[in-house]
Amino acid sequence: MADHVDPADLAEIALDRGDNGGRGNSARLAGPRLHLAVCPECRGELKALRAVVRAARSAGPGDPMTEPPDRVWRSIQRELETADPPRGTPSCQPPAAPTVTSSLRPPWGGHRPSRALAALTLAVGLATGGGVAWWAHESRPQTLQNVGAPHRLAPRPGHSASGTALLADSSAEGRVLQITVHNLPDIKGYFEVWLMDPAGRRLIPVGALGEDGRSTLPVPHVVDLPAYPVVDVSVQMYDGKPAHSGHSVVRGTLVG
Amino acid sequence: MSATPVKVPASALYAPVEETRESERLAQGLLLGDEQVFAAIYRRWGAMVHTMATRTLGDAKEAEDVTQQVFLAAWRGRAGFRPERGPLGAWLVGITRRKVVDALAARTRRARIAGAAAAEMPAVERWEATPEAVLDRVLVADELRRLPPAQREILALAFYGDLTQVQIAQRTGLPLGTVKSHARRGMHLLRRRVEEARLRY
Repeated sequence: MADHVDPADLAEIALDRGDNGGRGNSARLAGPRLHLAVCPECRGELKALRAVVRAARSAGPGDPMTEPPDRVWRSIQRELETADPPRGTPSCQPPAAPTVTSSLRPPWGGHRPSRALAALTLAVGLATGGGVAWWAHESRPQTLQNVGAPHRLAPRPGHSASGTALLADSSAEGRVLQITVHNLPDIKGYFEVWLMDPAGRRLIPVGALGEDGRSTLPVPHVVDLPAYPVVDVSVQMYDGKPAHSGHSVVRGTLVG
Repeated sequence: MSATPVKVPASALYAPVEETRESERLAQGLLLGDEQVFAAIYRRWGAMVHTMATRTLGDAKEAEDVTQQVFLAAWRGRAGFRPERGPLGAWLVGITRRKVVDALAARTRRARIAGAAAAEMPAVERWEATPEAVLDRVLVADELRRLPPAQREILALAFYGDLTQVQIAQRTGLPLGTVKSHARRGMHLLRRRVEEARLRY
C-alpha cells in the first residue's frame, strides 16, 4: 500500500465541501483520494477531521460564547458556603471574625466566612454588595469594609480584556481600589493602574496589576476621586519611563 | 507537491503551550481542593459550559441551573477527576453533558405529568440532532478562539471562506508550507479536543 495521506492533504480533503468542483478535485489530491479508498486507517482520520469541520462550520465564524450572569457564581459560592463548610486545616484557618460596620447583613447569613471562600468571591471579581469581604492579601490579613459596587472595566479597542474595579475601606490600608482584569494580553512588560480625569489629561498612577490580573491598591483620601473618576489599565514596558504608555487595555468609570 | 515546505518557527505553529500548562496547573489545584483555582476554572470554562447549557436547553433559567450544577459537581466530585484519563476541559464537558441530559429528561417527565405531547415540548435547537452535536460545536468554537492568531485566521479562511490552502497562501501572503502547517496543527488540536470530550460522554 502506498504511503498514508499527508496530514495537510487530509485536512484539505476534510475541508472540501464537495460541491465546488474546482477545489478538492485538483489533480494533486487525486492520489490521496485513491489511497483513501483502500485505507481504512486514513478514512478513520478523515472522518474525525470532517466531524471537526462540521462542528466548526455549523458554529459559524465568531460564534459568541454566552457568559453566565454573575448570580450563577454567587449561587455556587453560597451553596458551597452553606453545604460544604470550610475545612479546619491549620493552613486555611480563618482569622478572627471581621467587625461588621455595614448596616447590611453579610450575604452568607450567619456563617462565619472562610478566608478561602471570601477570596473566591474576589477572585471572580464580584463584590458582595454592601457586606464585608476580607481575605489574606499577600501574607497580611486585612478586613474590607464598606465594599462598594463593582464598576465594569470595558476593553479598549483591539483588546478583549475586561474586568471590574471597586472601592472599599481596608483595615490595613485605608481606602483601596480593588481591581480584577481578565483576558489580559500576553506582553513583555507589566500592567499599571491609573486614575484619570474625564478628559484623560491628568493621571495618577495607582500601582501595578498582579500577575493574576488582580490588585488591591491604596487610594489615600487625599486623592479627590470625583476629579479622577476614570480607572485605566495600561501596558507599560520595563524601560524606566514612568509616564502612561498611551496603550490602554481596559477602562471604566467609578461613578454610580 | 507544488511548493517547497518552508521552515517556520515552532512557536508560531504549536497550540499555545501556556494554555496546556495552565490547564494542568488548574487540574492540579482542583485535586488539591484549592478554592482560588476553582474560581480560575470557572473563569476559564464558565462561558463554555454556560453556552453549552443555553444552546441545548434553550431556556435561560434552566441553563443557569445547569451551569451551577456542573461546577458544584466538579468541585464536589473533584476526587473523581483522573488527569490521566484526559484534560480538565473534557471532564467538564462530560459533566455538562450529563447535567443537560438530566435536565432534558426532567423536562420530559414534567411534560408527561402535565399530559402534554412530547412533540410540543421546547426542543433542543431545531437544526441539531443531539445535544452532543451542540456540545461539539460549542467546544470547537471555544477552542478556535484560543488558538494562536495566525492559526485561527487560517482556519477561519478554510472553514468559512472556503479557500483552499493554496488560495489562503495567496490571500495572506504566507508561504504555502506555513499555511499547511497551521491548518494541519489547528485541525488536529480541535480534533483532539472533540475526541477527548467524547471519551467522557
